[in-house]
Amino acid sequence: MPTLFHLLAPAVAAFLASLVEAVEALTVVLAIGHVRGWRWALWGAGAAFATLLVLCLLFGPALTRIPLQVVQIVVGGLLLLFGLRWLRKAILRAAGVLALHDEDAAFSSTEAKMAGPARTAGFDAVAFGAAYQIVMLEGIEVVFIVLAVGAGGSALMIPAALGALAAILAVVLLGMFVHRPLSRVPENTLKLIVGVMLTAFGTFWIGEGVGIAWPFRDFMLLALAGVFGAAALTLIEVAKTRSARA
Amino acid sequence: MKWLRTLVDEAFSLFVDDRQLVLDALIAVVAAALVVRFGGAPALAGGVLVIGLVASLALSVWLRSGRKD
Repeated sequence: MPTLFHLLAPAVAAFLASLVEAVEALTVVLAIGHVRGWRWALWGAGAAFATLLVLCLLFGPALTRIPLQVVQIVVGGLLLLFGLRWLRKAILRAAGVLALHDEDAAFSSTEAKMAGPARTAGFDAVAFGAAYQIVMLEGIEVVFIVLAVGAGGSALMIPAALGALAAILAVVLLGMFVHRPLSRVPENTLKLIVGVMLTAFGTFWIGEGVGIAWPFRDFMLLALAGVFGAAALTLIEVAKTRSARA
Repeated sequence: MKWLRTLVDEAFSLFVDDRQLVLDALIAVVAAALVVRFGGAPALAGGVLVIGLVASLALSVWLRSGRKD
């Protein structure tokens, strides 16, 4: 019987990770729609979303047929790579070593790239292709995170998928309402939290995969998240000091 | 086919953003697996894994924050 923790942990991890990716995709789709018209930008985004759903339906059930230990090692390893990469980037951005991701700048840059006569009739391959590409790029990460976080079975997969869908829905609704890039979303803080959660999940899975019997079982995830969170906050201060001296 | 190439480039960049970090994390995982293989306590194996991963991340951040580019 899954506990509330079992349902909440994958849902929150998938929600936050999807929120970050969806905001990035929305910025580019909004810019394409502004410059070249909404019709083919929305068709491109919709087609990519449909492709991603097919990928989920194909690979989600297949994961449950692979031996659990293999899934734990492979998925745990990939989650660790994702998590450590997000965490490293978020730490360096928070410390000012790397520039923060700027949604307004991304919006302007895409608008400039898309500049050209907007089509009023007929197929606009540029708008369709660009929207399809960005939703696929950001969406592949969402699909991977949902599959990885939910790899322990349908009890985890369903809350992970619902978390991701809730984030996408929230971003789409906000995008329809404000029609501007969501530049006020604290993207780096979200990336830091998601990096901590993915690294904790990855450590837990890969640990089980190599035969570690974690004390306190699934609740060890909370302790792992605490350790990686504390390490990240400490490393931000270390990186700030070190980059100021460099 | 440009979108496909971009997709592949993007997917691979996930794993080669910092090769040293990936290698160090792999060493931590292998070390933890060896502790389990030779009968070490779960807490010891878990400790090796977590400390190894935190150290890998710290080393990567330390090296990058000392560079001026």
